[in-house]
Amino acid sequence: MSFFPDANILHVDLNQLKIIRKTIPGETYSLYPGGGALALYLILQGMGAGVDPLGPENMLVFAVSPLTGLPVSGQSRMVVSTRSPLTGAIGESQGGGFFPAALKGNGWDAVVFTGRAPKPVYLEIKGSEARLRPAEHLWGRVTGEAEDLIREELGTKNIEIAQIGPAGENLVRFACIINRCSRANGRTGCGAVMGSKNLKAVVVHKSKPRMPVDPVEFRYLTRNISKRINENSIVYSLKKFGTAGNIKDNHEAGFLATRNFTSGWFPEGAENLSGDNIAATILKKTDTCYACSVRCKRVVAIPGKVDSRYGGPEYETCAAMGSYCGIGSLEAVAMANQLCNMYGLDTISCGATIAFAMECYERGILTSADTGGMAPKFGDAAVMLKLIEMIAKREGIGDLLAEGSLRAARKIGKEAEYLSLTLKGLEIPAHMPQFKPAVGLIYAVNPYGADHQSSEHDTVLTLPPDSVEGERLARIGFRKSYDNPLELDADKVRFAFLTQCFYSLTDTLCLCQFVWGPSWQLYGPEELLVFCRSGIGWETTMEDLMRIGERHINMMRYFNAREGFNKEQDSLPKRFFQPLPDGPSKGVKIEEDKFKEAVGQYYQLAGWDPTTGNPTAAKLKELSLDWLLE
Amino acid sequence: MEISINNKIYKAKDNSTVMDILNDLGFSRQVAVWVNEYKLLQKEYPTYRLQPGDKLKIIKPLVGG
Ligand code: SF4
Repeated sequence: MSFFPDANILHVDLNQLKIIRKTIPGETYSLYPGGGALALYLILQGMGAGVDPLGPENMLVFAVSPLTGLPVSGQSRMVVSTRSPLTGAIGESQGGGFFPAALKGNGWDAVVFTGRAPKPVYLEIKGSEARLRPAEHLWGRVTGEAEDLIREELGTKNIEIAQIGPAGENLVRFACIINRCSRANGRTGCGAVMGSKNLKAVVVHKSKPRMPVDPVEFRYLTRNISKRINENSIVYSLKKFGTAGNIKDNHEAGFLATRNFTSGWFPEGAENLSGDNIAATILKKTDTCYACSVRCKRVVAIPGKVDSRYGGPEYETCAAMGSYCGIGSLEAVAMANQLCNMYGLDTISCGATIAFAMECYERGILTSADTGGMAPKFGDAAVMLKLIEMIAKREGIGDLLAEGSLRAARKIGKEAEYLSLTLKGLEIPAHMPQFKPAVGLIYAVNPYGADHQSSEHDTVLTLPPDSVEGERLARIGFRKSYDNPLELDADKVRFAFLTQCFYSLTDTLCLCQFVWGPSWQLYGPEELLVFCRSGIGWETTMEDLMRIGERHINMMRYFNAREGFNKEQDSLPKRFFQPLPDGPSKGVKIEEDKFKEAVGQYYQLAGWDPTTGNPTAAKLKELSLDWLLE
Repeated sequence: MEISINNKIYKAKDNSTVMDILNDLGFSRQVAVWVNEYKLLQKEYPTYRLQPGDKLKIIKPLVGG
């Protein structure tokens, strides 16, 4: 077997306030080489079924990979995994910034938290040393304040801080973990789990940069990087306009999720929320993650209203706080983004839950008696901003909405559940499944709920087969170009499955999916092999890498099966089977029967039991996961 | 010469190739192009010469983010 490094794991027992160090040998680590796969390996080894997500037995794992922190674009990401308090399924969330590179730079591949500290604490990591420090004075502080206090206390700016805000402390079920006050491990409520453990922050000291084992071959990836970016118009657009560059185009196509997904057409606001309008009005500068030349991050400022330390809104935030809520004011969206980053809230779930409340109110399912006199209607920016604060503090109606839209709907009753646009309880991101049915299929079957970064998007399939994108997809086994991306046939299901395996691989290796991917990204499958080889001396093959991605998906799905999940939770909300009412997408819908058929085809490809939708023993054995059957 | 692009009339230079049009409109190669409902391969973009009255459809893929 080719060389693979050992994994160094820090185990933090918060009950006992004890820290121990463990090593996983390279031979084992190479099967679960970082990120979500490593985290699941640790969780499935260390935690039984049925634990309370907000109880001390739940494990919370921060994981990076052997590639993290090497000097190339798109490698500084971290996965946080746990049993999600929002969904009850496996929770997984990816985030970027500088924290991941710093964690790996200190020699750590993962940090595992168990138990609950008797009083608030934070963890400080400096090289091989780690210690818990009191954090009572930080409890209740918003992220910016806590960051300042920690820097002052430790007497250095040379640290990276991943922390929760008051929303995590208050166990808001979609609270996130934030680093640099602007980079979120946003989804599935990992911030609430951190809060339940009385863990305010993890602080890592910066370390010496990591170097590749073969700098000569590694240079193939980094030389002429500006040319590489400029020649890729999609990546170049990310550099120029950030992710919000797609807002206007999605609206013009008729697929910008609007007013709780009742429409895909937002003429009154799309232009304002677009990346070019951000660039022309409130953009202060661009920002990046460690060693990344793409610099897709936006930093915005509005004097007296929005402080640049809280970054700037992404595409998803512009949609969730903007079009989902019928709000076209960029200023309001920038303020909402700031509030979410101060309090530590996932902008997608938060915006979607507010949009859900707005639709409930407009339909008379919620009344002003329920809302304490507020009138949450689509388009009301002041109400949207107020609700964010109320959710973070669990005040008034905010306490109900802090449970996430599905739990809130079940408490409200009537037909509220129809208006909760969630999969497994996770609110749906801003890529409409009617436009991207393969993405919709992955929304449905993805173990941690609706996620837009768990597979490639259908639209790339319109490119001709001799394009770079077509050739890269062929490298992972998919060869077909589509005239109509809205189709959902058996080949599309295969595209969804294969690209899901690739994306799952990137979530394992903790790579940014704007930089490393199976089609349009800056680097494709071939370059990934170069990265593995020249970065850490890992001689692997595309088949082995795809298998790693598939193994990770199966581990998550196995976790869910233990918690009672099955195919029942693998369907889209009914709204997507109804025709859209207006704009260029008027009349477009997903055919329910075809969708069900596609789910069945997916199970067949995945080798899962068609009656339960769960991995079979044979599949687990094939993926070297026999130990799960013991 | 007059052609149409995504259902809008467009005045193009005589003898223009598909690539010339993409360059004029600020598109990169990362688009799909149909001429009179025939989908081109990417290698045809620089050589395919347009005729007056041709109907082009150009689609830019909207990916994740
Ligand atoms: S492309 Fe953007 S999100 Fe990805 S690593 Fe670079 S700066 Fe970070």
